[in-house]
Amino acid sequence: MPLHTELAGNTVRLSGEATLYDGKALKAALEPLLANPEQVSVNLGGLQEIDLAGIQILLSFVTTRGDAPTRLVAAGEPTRRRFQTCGLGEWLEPATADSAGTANGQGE
Amino acid sequence: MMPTSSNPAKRQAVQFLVFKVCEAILGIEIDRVSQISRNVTITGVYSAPVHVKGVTNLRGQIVTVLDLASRLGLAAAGIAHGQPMIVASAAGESVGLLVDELDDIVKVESKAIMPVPRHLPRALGSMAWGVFTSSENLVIALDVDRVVG
Amino acid sequence: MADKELLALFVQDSTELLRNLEQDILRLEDSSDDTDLLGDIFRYTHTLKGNAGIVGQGLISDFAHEMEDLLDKLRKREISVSTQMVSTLLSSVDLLESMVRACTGGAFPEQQAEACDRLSQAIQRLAQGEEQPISAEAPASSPEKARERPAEPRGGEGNILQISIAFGAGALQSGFDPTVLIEELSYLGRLESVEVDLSRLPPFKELEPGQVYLSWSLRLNCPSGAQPVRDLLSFIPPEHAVDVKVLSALTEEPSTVPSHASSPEPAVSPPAQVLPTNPIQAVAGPSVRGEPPGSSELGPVAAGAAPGPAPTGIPSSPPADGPAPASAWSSPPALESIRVPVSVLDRLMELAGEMVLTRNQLIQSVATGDEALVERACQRVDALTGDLQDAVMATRMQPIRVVFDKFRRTVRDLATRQGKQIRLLADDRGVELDTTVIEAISAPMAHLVRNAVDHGIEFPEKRLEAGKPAVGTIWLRARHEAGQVIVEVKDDGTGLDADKIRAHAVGLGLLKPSRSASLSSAEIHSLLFKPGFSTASQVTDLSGRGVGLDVVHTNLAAIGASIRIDSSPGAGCVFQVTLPLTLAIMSAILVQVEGERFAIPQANIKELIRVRAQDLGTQVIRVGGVDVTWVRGELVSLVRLSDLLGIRSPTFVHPRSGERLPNKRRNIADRRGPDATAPRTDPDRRRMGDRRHSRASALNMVVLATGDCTFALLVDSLLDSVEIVVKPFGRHLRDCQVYAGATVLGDGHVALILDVMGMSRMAFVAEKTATAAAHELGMKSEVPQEEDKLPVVLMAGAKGEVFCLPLHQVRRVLKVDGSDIRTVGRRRVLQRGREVIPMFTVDQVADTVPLPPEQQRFALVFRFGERDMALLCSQVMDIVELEDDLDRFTYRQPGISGSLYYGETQVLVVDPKELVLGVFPHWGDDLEDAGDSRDRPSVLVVDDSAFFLDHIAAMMEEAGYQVSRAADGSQALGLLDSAASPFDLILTDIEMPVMDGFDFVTRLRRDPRFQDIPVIAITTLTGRENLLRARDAGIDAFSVKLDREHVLERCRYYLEHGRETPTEPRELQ
Repeated sequence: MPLHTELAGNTVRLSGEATLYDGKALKAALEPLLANPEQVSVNLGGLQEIDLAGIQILLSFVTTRGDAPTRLVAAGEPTRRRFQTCGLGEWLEPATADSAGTANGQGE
Repeated sequence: MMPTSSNPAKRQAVQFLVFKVCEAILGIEIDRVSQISRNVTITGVYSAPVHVKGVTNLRGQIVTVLDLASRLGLAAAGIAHGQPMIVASAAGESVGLLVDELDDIVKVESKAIMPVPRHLPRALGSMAWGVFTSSENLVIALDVDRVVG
Repeated sequence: MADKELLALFVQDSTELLRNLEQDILRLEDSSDDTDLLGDIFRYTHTLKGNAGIVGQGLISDFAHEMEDLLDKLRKREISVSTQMVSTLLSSVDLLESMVRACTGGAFPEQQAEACDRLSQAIQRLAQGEEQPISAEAPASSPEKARERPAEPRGGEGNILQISIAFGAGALQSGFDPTVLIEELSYLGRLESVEVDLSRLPPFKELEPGQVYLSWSLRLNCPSGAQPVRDLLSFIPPEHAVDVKVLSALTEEPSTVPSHASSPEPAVSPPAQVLPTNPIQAVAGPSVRGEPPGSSELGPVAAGAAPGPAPTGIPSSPPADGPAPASAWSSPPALESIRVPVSVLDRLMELAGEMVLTRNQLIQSVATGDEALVERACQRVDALTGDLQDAVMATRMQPIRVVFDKFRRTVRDLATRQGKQIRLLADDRGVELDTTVIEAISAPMAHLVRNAVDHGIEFPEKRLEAGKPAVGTIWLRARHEAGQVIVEVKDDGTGLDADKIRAHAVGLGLLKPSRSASLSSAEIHSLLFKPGFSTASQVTDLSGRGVGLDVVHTNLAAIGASIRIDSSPGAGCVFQVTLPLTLAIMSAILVQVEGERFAIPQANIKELIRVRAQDLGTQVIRVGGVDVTWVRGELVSLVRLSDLLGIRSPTFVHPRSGERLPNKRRNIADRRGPDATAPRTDPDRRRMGDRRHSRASALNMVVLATGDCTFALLVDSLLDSVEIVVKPFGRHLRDCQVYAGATVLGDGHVALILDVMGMSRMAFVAEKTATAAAHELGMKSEVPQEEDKLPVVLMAGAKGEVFCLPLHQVRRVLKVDGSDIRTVGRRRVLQRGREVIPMFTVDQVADTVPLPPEQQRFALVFRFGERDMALLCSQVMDIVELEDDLDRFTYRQPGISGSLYYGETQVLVVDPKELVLGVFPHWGDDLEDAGDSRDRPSVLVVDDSAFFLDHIAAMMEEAGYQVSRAADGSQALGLLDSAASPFDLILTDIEMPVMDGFDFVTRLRRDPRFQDIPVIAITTLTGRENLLRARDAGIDAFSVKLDREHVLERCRYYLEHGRETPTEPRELQ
């Protein structure tokens, strides 16, 4: 299933796949929130599949926003596993935390 | 206007092999020429594309031979026996070009090469990249890659 | 000889010896009784032992000695061969190989010594006749030992691996995702640390989604050793750097490894293994290029040294269904020396000798200023240089058997490891290729073979369940065909599951779901070759069968080779690789046409035939618009080479005068027998003699076969049989279908090589032959036609519906491949080369069961106005004759003219014209426009069958004629008599009541008024006798019922030229 995105306030919700083929769409979906100084959340709950392309876009999104807080939340099992195996587990919000959050992880 | 091949503008002077096809006097950069032959035995290839005269055996290699007159849209008097053939290299392979007469090798200053005049017949004009004078003749510099196609 | 040289020689010799030894040992399993084989094996080992002693390689010598003891007992039949023994022997060969290699560099490392001990013990035990239970066979030589050191890395390597991953920027685009790789690695053991380098990650706006910016460094604790990692990494091409460093051995308790890592396969122990040697130096290490299978080293993969595809490892390789990245690999060892047949060397010597002579000539002639001599000498030098080049090229030819042999071991090891039973059959037909081509295809082929074992052949139980023999078979075949070399890997395993492939492709976004239903199986299979197909994450359901094929495809394309797959689910797969002919030497026959010589690959030639001119009328006939001849009782299309070459005005050499004259004969079969109407006393004719009897007037035919298609090629003369080196064409001529390249003949001239496959396609030979055969089937040649029987082509629609088209309306039959179908607006068309044929199904206008796309397998081509159209069906059932009692009422609907019975089955008769008009009503206008403004010529059509009369009349009217009809000969005569203006043309049937065609025309010709009207007989009768009778009666041409094209063409011809009068000297050829 290709990428599907919903923007609601400061949260963008992703579902479907975030892979090489969805790169452009993913960037376009995150773009509006790039400069938003408030806290922004990317809800990964609906993602069934993610690959390096998707991961890089998300990471770059977080880093480019710099001091402005960004959370990658609600990652499902496949997404979480991929992040974790690749040493990027800290970039995701812990599974239980769902409320207004902590500062984003900056990698290792 | 500049040739897609080597960029002579960068160099001070260019060496050309000058030759005749029908009434036209033409030139090709010498560093694109690997060989010049005469009395070439050409084997015709039926149902070959239009400008292909045939093939010839060049040191064991099968080289396609193009009829330059036909390629340049010049009125041909037919292929005479013993026509010289210029072997040029383009796109990684050698291709033979049949001409009427070989002339000389001349060295031309890059700045002496002028843009292609407009009145040239279309096919010829589209494959030329400049003109220069040599021994009071106007020589048309051909772009080898476009000629070979 | 210096020590070093001696040693180098030893290494070279022994490497070859060991290769032979390995092949022989493999054969031992199937022929354990073969005394000669046992003897050979013993002798190899003995020789090796001796040689090793001479160069002071004590370890090798000692080990070989152990083997010798065992082998001696074997050949004396004191003990017998067992699978286990073979495995041990093979491992011993592996060990010897690495020991031999170590001779020229590096010390003999500890691990190898261990392996040496272990194997020696195994050998000794076997020699004592001790059997070991297979399951306990382990590198650790006893079960207890295995338990003591559970985590002992097999072969003594460390099991902590330091892996750094830095893929190239374009990796994702090529289908390689490092995160997938890491996840895969995580299943092989325990990832102890993962460090990711984000430094190159660009700011959001600059980020290109397709590029790779991250790299990693990780530590993996892999209790089963490095082999599984090695296997996994072997799939990655060298431009994506993956570095693996094995840290020193640790004996840790294996942690709970995810269930993935344990082998799903039954625990068959591996053959005793030998793994190499030095702990790998990551970057600094020497490039370990291409270890032969059986002993791979883990080295800096970036240097292109990925381990060879043949594993020597352990059952715990990654699950086959895992998302293994697609494959690439190292090349086989760069050859330092090569074997050359003595005959080739002799030729080189010969040429060198001639060169010397010619050089002397040249020098002399220049000195004396003899221009003519100079020129001759120059030409000779020119020719010789070409020959020399060819001969040198010939030295590089290697038999493909070399590649096939390598795989025996691979298959055996893999099969044993996985618990499958597989035999490998190879048929190489002596095919030879240039070494570079051999090198280039080794790796892709290895992958295909591996794939067949891993994912093609099922486990014995499953095979038995499916009714197959427990032992699976893999075939490796090579052959010359149509001037190319075809290499096949075939298996009788599970085959490809089209649905799964489809689903996966849709899931990957490579295919739109709407389109996926209409793909033909060929299209589906070709999906496997699309980049990224097998490497995206989660290739679970595909059973790994498609893994790596996209890279195989890319690698092959790089050398100009192509690959295709054929598969039937459950029955197996065939991978067919077609190699470019660039450097092959092949046998050919030279033929001559229009004074030019052409070469035809011997492989395609079935037969050479000569037909005497006087036999022509009977041996070659025109049927259904096609010239055909009989070859051993089979009807075969006859094609003129000059036609295929596009020679407009073919010439021929008059056998007496020797002149080259234009050949006016249009049809090959159009030869006149003695003309009954010519005055027999024509003095000119007698003087000319009958040219037909001249030897040179015979027809020379080459019967060619390509795949399933046979046809006869007409040439001017047949020349020699030659061995030629194929030279490819350059860009301009590459696309000519007729040629496969060119070659230089002995006299220095160029001969073009004909591409038989291309020719058959150009001449539509397959369809024409089928059509001609169909027509022949539809005719009863010797027995008079039964009244009112209509030959039809029966075809199957959907759900058991049966349709038919009258045979005379079917111009040809095509097999439809999904990839040929295009949709243009509302129209679906068949694209064949440059032809675009609109396609129709009956359900488009009539109330019949719609034919689903996957059942649209055959197209019957018919004529509509000036164009060809196609009617689709699922199957062409048969060509039969039905009682011509058309029921025009019961099933009448648009597109269906009625129904007939075939036995008990109801057959709906399709009216193709109505069908087309039903879909595109405005096309009817096109039909009407076909006529032109000239005076419409008048034609008299005579036929007793109302059905045919209607059809022919309609056809002629459409073509712009004025038509009058008569139901038999006497009616026709009556019409002729009373006609206001004379007829231009007569079309008549033969079999008619009251007065038949022969009678009718004979009478017609007696009347001076009607002597000049051309008469074309349209009939189902053929056969040689009838043809002759027709000519005697004065019939000008014959057309089988009924070839529209041919009839109209003949009509035009006769309208223009009138009847051919016998007074012209006729050119018989």
